[in-house]
Parts: sequence; C-alpha cells; structure tokens
Amino acid sequence: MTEGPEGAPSRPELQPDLHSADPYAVLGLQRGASVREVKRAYFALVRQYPPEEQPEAFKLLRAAYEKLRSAEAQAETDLFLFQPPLPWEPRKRRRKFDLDIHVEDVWHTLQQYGDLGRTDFKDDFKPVKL
Amino acid sequence: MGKRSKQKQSSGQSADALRLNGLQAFKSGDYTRAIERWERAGRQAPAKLPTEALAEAYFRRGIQGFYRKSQSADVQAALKDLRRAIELAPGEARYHFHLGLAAHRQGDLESAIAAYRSAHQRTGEFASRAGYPLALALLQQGQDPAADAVWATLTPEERARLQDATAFRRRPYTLSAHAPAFWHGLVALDRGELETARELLQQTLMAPGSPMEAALAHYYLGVLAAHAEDWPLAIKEWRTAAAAGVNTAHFRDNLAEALQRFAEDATQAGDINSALSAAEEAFQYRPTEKSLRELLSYLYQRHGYQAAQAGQWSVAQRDWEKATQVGEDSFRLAYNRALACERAEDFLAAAEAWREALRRRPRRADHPDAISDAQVARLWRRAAEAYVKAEEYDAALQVYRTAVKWDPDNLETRMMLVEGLLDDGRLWAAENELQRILEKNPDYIPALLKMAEAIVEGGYWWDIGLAEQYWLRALQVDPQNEIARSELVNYYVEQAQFRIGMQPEVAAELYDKALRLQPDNASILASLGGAHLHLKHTAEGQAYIKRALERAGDNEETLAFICEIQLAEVSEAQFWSTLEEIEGSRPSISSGFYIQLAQRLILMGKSALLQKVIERVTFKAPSKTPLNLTIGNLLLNSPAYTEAQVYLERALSAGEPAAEAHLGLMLLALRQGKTTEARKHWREADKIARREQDPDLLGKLARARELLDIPPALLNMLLTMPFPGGDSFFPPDFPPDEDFDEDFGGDF
Repeated sequence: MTEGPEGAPSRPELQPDLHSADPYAVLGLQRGASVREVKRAYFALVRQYPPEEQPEAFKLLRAAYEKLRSAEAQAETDLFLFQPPLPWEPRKRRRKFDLDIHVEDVWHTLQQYGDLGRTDFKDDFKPVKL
Repeated sequence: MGKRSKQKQSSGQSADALRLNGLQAFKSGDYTRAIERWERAGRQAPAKLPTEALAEAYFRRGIQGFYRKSQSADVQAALKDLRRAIELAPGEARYHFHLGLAAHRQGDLESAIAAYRSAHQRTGEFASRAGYPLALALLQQGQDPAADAVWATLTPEERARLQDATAFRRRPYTLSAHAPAFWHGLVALDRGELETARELLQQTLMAPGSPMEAALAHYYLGVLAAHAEDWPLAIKEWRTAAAAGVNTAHFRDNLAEALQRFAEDATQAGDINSALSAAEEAFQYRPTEKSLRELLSYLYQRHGYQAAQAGQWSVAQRDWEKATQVGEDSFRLAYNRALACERAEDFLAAAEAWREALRRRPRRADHPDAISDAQVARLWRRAAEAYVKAEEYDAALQVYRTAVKWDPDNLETRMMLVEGLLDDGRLWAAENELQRILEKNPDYIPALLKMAEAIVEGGYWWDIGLAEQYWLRALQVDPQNEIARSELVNYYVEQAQFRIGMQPEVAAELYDKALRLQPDNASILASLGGAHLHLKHTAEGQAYIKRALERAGDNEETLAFICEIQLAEVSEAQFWSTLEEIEGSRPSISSGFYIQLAQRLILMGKSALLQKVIERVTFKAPSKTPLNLTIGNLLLNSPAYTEAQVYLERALSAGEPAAEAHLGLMLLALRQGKTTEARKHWREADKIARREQDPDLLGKLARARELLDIPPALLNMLLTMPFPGGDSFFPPDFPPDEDFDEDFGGDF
C-alpha cells in the first residue's frame, strides 16, 4: 500500500480488464467480490475513467456494474459466468524413460544397405507375353 | 463407356478376348482388372489361363500395394498377392526374393528367411541379391550368419559389415576398430560412458554416413539429454529423429513421455499454450494413456476459458468440444459449452449443452459445482429460452415444465411457460397455468395482465368482460400501472363505439369510465362529447368538446374527429364554426389535418362540403403540396368518384406530382368508359416517368397499362372495389403523416 499526498494511505489503482467477458474482471475484482466491494471499485474506476473523457470505457464499466450492483443481479450473473476448470491434479504414475540401447537399431542401420533400403522396385518388373 | 456397360460387355467375351483385354489392362497398369480378366478367361477355358502373366500381375500389384506411401496401404493384401504370384510361378526367384524383403520389413524374420532361402537356392540375379538380407535376417534372429552356407556368397564388404554387427549378439559388446562410429557410440552408451557416447554420436552426424545412422544418432543424443533430465533438448533431438523416419516403439514411448512431462511442468508453471502444444503432440504417440487424456482435457478447458474471457467464442467452443472428446464430459464443461454456444448464437447446441450440464450436475452437496434446486430450475429455464431462440417450441415447453417442477414458486418461470404456451397457440393451457399462478399470488400483476390479454386473444365475446376484472385488479394493486390503464381505456372505448348507435347512454357511461382513467385524453373527451350531443345533452356535450379542443393540441386526427362530430351531431354551421376556431387558434396546422377531414367527409358522403373546405385551403396554401392529388385519389375510390376530376386537374395546375395526377385521371376516364382519354393520360404519365427514371412509377404504369386492355365490364368491377375497407387498385400515395409539410414545404 502506498502513501497518499497528505500521508493518508491511498488505495492502489485497480487493474480493470475492460474488454473481458467477466464483469468482475472489468471492474478489476476477483470473482465473488461483495456488492460493497463492487460499488467501491466502480466508483473508484469512474474517477479513473471519467465519462466525459473516456465515454467508451465508462460504458463498459457501467455495464459491468449493472450486472453486479445488487445481490440479486450478482446471483444471476454468477450463475452464467464462464467457469475456469477445476484445478488439475496430476495422476500418480510410474512411467520411466527407456534409456537403454536397442540392438534392433543396429539392425535398422544394416537394413539401409542393399535392397532393404529401397522402396522402388519397378526395375524388377518383367514384361509379359501371352 | 460406363463401368456397368463395360462389365456387361466383358461378361459376354470369349476367353481369347478376355486374355487380350487383360493384357491391355496390364499394360495400362491396371493390374486388378488384368487379374480379373485373366482369371475369368481361365474359368472359361483352363488352357487359356495365362499363368505367368497372371503371376506377374499379382507380383506387381503386391509390390505396388506394399510400398505405397499412402495411409490406405493394405500390407496384408499385398503380402497375399506376393504369395499368390509364387503359387502361380514357384520357379521365379524374383517373387521369393521380394516376399522375403516384404516379410523382413514387417519383422517376420521366419517367413523372410524361408523366402530368401527359396530365392537363394535358385540361380541368377535374385538368388544372388537374396544373400545379404538372408544373412542379416539370420543375424537378427540370433544365429551366426558366418556359420551358414550363405556366408560364402557374400561380398567382402557385406561380410565385414555383418561381422562387426555380430558383436551385438551378446554382451559385452566388442567391436572392431573399423566398425561405424555410431555403433561405437551405442557401445559407449551401453557401458555408461556418456561423454564418449555423445562425442561418437556427434561424429556420426558430422560424417557422411547412412541417413538411418544419422537419424538414430539423433535419437540416442536425445537419450543422453534425458539422462541429464534436459527435456527440451531430448524433445528436440527426438523430433529430429522422427522427422528422419525413426519410428520404433521405444522411440515413441520416450518422446511421448518427455512431451507429457514437459506438458505437466508447463501446466504447473501456468504456461498453458506450451503445455497444450506438447500434450497434443504426446497424444499422437500415446492416445490411450489415461493420465495424458486427463491432462489434455484440462488444458483444452483452460485454453477455452482463456478464449472465452477474450470473447473468442468459436475458439472456446472448439476447445471445449475437444476437451469432451479426449476426457470425460462434466457439468462444468457442458455448462461452459452452453454459454459459448449461446454467445456464438448456436442456440440449439446451447440448449442441448444446458441439458447435458443438468444431467451431469453433481448431486453431492459438498461438491464445488453443487447447485441449489432454484439454480437447477434457473438453468432449465435457460435451456428452454435457448430452445425458443432456436424455434424449437415443443422442446422449450417441455423444458419450461421441468423448470417449474424444480421451482414451483418461481412465478417468473411459470410466466415464461405461459408465454411458451401462448406462442404455441395453446390458449386453454396458458389460461390454466395463469390460474395456478394467481392461486399462488392473486396480486401478481404480470399474470393479471397476461390473463386479460389471453382472454381478449381468445376472442370470445362472452368472456371479454372478464378481462376487465383482471385489468381493474392490476390497477388496484398498482394504480400507476400504465399497461392496465391503457388496456382498460381501449377496452371501454371499443365497447362504447360498439354501443353508440343502439345504446348511446351505455356508450356515454363507458366513455366516462375511460375518461376517469385518462382525464386529459382529447379523443375520449371528444367521443364523450359526441355521445352527449347524440343524446341531445347539448350543453354537456359542447362542454366536453370544448375541453377536447383545449387538450387536442395539434393532433390532426382528433381535430378532424371533433369537426366530424359537430357536423354529424349538431349542424353544418357548427362544423364551420369549429373549423374556423381550429384554424384561428392553430395558424400552422398542417395539410394532414385537411386530409383527415377530407377522408371523414368523403365517408359521410359530404363531398360538396369537402370542396368548400378545400377551396379555402387552396386559397390559403397555393404551394406545391399534393393535397389535391391525395383528395383526388381518395375520391376516386369513393362513390363520388366523378368529383375526383376537379382535384386531380387542380393537382396538375398546382404543380403537384403530375405523373400521379395523370394516372388518377386515366383511372377516372376508364371508369367513365373514356378509353381514348385514358390512353392520353397514361402516355403523359409514362413520358414523365421515363424522364424522371422513377422505377416505382414505371412499375405502377406497367400495371396501369394492362388495365387499358381489360374489357370494360371487368374493369369497372376492378375499379369499384369497396371503399375504404377493400384495397383500391392504387391506394392513395400520400397518406397524412407528420413529415408531410417538411417533405413538401407546404405551410398552411
């Protein structure tokens, strides 16, 4: 927290994501913020983005605020927000690397010599007579 | 020629013809057709079977099939062809040799050795070419090729190569000094001498050797990186090996494992894009690994969530569909899919996804995604709304009912069910549902209003009075409710209009009720005044008319209505007096008022009075307004149609749209049977329309032209369509509207 000009602690600037589909993010809040926090953030952001100077930003802020301004609106909004996936819990597994040498790889190198290394055998076709 | 006709033709061919036909196919490279023709020839006449040629066809088809690079290569079918070639020509070493090569490549060493030996036992080129692969197959099988008779037939280089390789038959591997660096590298790796191994493998890459050695050197450099747990380097080396054609099982397992570990680490570090890319690549090698499928599903969900937050609905939708394919569907996943589908306006898919989400909702209360019954009902409602948007009304109704079951006290949801029933035309069911809502809450205004609306919509006259009770109840609950108020006013006015002829007292009472709800409504005041004048309550009637005039403002329709009342209920003198009062108090009154008035006077059959009114107007406003034209057209469709002529001619001389005026005069002439005059007016109108290039007018003229050719009796029937209920042939083009004066610059 930083100090204000007269020694009073000043609130850190909110970091709104104005183009987010999540109204909480638009207001720079975490999901589940209370109606009081929503109001506080909205009014702080209105000072940060005055409507007369930044009308487009203000519109986005206002729209987000409308979705969260009361407990009822918030409940409805919360019910239809995209949900992040539940945390991933790595499955315990015993997988090891195979760091041995494989003799079949030696044979593979040997197969590259002679006819085993070829794929075109048109020369081996013979004409037919009836 | 079509395939079927070719077959039909060949089925009737002789064995000789089939042989020739097969040869032709063979030469064009169509070995399948060649085989089919020759085998058929053999069935027709066994002596005609070209055994050697047929063997060659099987051989060629087998070789082509085996070495085809496409995914559709059917290796087993190719091997079968090669075996069939041997059956037909067992003495041909070439076929044995190639069967050996194919089996060898497939890893079937036993079959390969048998086929090579068959080739090798014979003489010629292929017996000799079978030597090296036979010796190699023996070595691969764990035998010592030097102990086999084939050894003596090998070249010194072949022997040297195989001799060195025999060192790999058993540990400890001891190589000769001139063995390839790659092999030495493998031996060093096997001994745990990692640095030496690395140097030798890198040396392999520097020296121009066989491409397979280089590819495998990359693989083993990856193994060395994995020893050092340098996963990015291991992945890089293995990807290079894969690109160069390495595809062994241990390679696939190692690359998949490295990619999965990388993806897991990146996931934990929050680098979703890198993690997803690695996991997708690992999935190609390890598609059945459960832990990988779970990880990949999670990553698609995360990626989709990021996309949705950025408004990229289609990306989100695609990611969540992939997440469902690789992992298990879940409430949260289906829920997000539904929201993304809604945003992408794919409402049917959204509705289905909502249903899926509801089916998969967690039933345990302590689950992080557990939802209450009310929320379940809300989601069902959302599904129904999506069905409505997708125009799937039956499904929507069914889902609305489910939503009501989950939350029967939610009247908003029940009202949506009512809307659905009404949209589906199920009026009785809607009324029943409304009744149930009102049983729960008799003061629920949306239900009261909807019930009244449903009753009116039902259209049964004996029920209409019931609607009044619901509107009155709604107003009682909320005296400010404007919908209830205006619906009631409309209802009273309609009822009054219906009764004014036979029951003027009742009509006056109804207007009075309406007026109490809207005391400043000038139209109701005028109507009530009219009703009292009708009842000869002159003073009372005129008092209401006076109030109506005060409150009418510039409302043209109401002002014209007031004039009509004075004429109909009092006298022509009173009409003029009121008209003058209106004109005097409203100097800027628009032409729309006069057109309204004209329409009423025409309906009353007072066209002579109309002319007097319009003469005054014309005198007052000689500007280019289409007033005359509009009135002319109105008259044209009335019983007093002959009087249209004055206005239409006046329209021409006043500079109003001339083509339209000529068109009106043409119709009038036609009605009067003056065909020549009608043609003259049509030509005039046509001339103007062409000059002005007005497409609407040209279209209208084309239709009017057809009238000129219609027999007079039929034409008269067409032109005497009922007025004003029926559509006239050309409805007036200039209906009174508020932009009238602005458009035409008129100023009365």
